[in-house]
Amino acid sequence: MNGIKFYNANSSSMKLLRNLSFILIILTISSLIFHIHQYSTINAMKERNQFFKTELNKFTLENPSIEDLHKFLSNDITNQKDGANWDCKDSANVLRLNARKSGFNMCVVLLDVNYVIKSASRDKEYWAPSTGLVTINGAILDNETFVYIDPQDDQIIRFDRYSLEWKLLEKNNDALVAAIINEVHIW
Amino acid sequence: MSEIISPKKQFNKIWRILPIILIIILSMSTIYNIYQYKIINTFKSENQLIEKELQHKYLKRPSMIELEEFLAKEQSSENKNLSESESASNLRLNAHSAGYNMCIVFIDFEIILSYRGLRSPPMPFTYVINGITLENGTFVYIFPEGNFIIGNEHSQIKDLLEYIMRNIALYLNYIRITKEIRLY
Repeated sequence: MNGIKFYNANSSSMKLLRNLSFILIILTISSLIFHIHQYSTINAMKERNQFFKTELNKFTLENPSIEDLHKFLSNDITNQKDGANWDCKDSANVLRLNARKSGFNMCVVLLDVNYVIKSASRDKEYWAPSTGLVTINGAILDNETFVYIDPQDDQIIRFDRYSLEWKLLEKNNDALVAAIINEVHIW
Repeated sequence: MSEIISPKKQFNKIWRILPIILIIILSMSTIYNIYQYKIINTFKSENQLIEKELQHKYLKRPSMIELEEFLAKEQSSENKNLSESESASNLRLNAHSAGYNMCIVFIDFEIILSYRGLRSPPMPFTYVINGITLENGTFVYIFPEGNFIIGNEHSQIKDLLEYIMRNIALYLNYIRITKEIRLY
């Protein structure tokens, strides 16, 4: 009888073990399925993340170093464009767009300038006040320095009112005086 | 005298070991599941953050009603000390903050003034205003000084010229738009 009892006990524990094993197998399989599901979710999220990052990178523009700026300006051909209807506004606009394509943050600088220019009327020459809107570019370098850029000759001018006014006089041969009265930066 | 293990006993041994192995696998799997869950959560929050930032970067075309509402709320036009380029720049910046893709428009034109029979030579002028493409594809000009919209698909240039003529000079004899540049 003892033998039979022992056998029965053994048999019931075996049954329990078997049932437990089956439950555990089912749990392991479902866990594996869940793994696969999570793995595909992670992959989808990774792809989405990558896409967002590339999209965001398109909007992220960096401040160039002076070397980068020189290199970009020497490669850019905006300064060579010329034509009857092409002026500083076109050059500044195109240079800014090209800089953005290269990943650099460049602005358009609108300068309201008061000039004293040489005029002629009835065979008499005289100096007359005049106003004008000059459009150039500007950029903040990686060392936080702001520089002006003349898009028509690719010259980099330091952030100094007098240097800029001197440049404006150089550009306008008829002007005796050029005074900047207003400056707007469009990023 | 080595003990011969019967196949049944061997099978029983496997049944005894199997739950232990499965419990180990299952607990490892649970730990890995938690790890994966954490990764998913990290990606989720990062993606939400980038998506929000991207929404700020993408600028949309407003409807006419939205544009009128924005301009009605807009207060940069009230500062009369600003130059036209400053007003245009401010309005563009505020529109960008509101999520609208507004641009600055340079309008080059030529005028001839006349006074008591004397005519001036053609003089170039530049006007700086704003512009925006509406939801339906129509481009409208906005004068930042008064925050008002000029033009619709039928009479843009005519309205623009009329406005400029009213604003420029008393002795205007001739006006012609020579060029327009849109700075986005």
